[in-house]
Amino acid sequence: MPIITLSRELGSRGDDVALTVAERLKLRLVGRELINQAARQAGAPEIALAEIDELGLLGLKPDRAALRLYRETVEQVIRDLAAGGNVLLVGRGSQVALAGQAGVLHVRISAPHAARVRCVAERCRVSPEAAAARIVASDQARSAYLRRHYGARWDDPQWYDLMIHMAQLRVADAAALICLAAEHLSHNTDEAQL
Amino acid sequence: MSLEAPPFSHPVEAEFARILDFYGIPWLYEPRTFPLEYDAHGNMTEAFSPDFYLPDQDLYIELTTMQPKQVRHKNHKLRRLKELYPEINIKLFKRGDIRSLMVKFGVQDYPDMMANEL
Repeated sequence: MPIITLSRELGSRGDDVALTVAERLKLRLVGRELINQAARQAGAPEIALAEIDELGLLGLKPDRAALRLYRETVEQVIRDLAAGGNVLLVGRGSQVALAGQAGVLHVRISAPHAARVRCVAERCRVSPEAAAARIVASDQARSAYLRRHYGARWDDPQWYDLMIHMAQLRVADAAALICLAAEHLSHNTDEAQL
Repeated sequence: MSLEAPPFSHPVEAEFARILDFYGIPWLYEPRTFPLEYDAHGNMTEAFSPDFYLPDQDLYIELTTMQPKQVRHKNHKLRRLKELYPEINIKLFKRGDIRSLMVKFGVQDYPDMMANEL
């Protein structure tokens, strides 16, 4: 019952990698759903919008108490999902929330800046300048989430078993590496339990 | 996310829908009308149809470009909605919120849009 957490930079093709791995290992892919579920459980659905809005377009500013409750709920939802197994969790600090838990594979996907700009510009049909600005905003939002909530750096290798830099690898190559690592980890965990 | 854009009653709504699409947030346009008042014969005399419903967040969104002084009637409707339907989650985006949103999203003709009341 593989459990994988995947942290990715905007424009790194990490979402494509996550999708491919989830399909190949028949895992439930949980990304946006985690945000929505936690916000609903915390009784503050507009926080989901604020969290999705990492470029700050909607300008929502939920109050501190609601945010704190949301963060705690996110962690609980992550633990509940992991307890069920067969899941690939994308983002939301899942690599830190599940750190040290046996059998959980933590992956990070990054890419060269120029490749990220190209990817975002193509997908969002915006100029390279706008794509670069979106990458800066996204990096700030994602790193701030881990820093504020856990006092952790999202690019710190200590949180990951596998870090893949998408400079030369294709999505399929990265997915194959993750599947292999998940298989080995599962085997090692089974052996340790015997 | 709609495959075909619905007939929005105001250009600001169309822009808001574009932002939701940009983030991949599914939405429905004015999917439900909430009766607020009835007359002595049981006929509905006042109702409220929030502009958007976001099913994944279970959240209604109402947009208004009215000047703050003119929002009183809308606020009254929202209060009444919360009284009658406490299970409903709704977020009001006011004129200032919408202006800032349009600027950030790079909408060039936003001043014209704000001139028409929503």
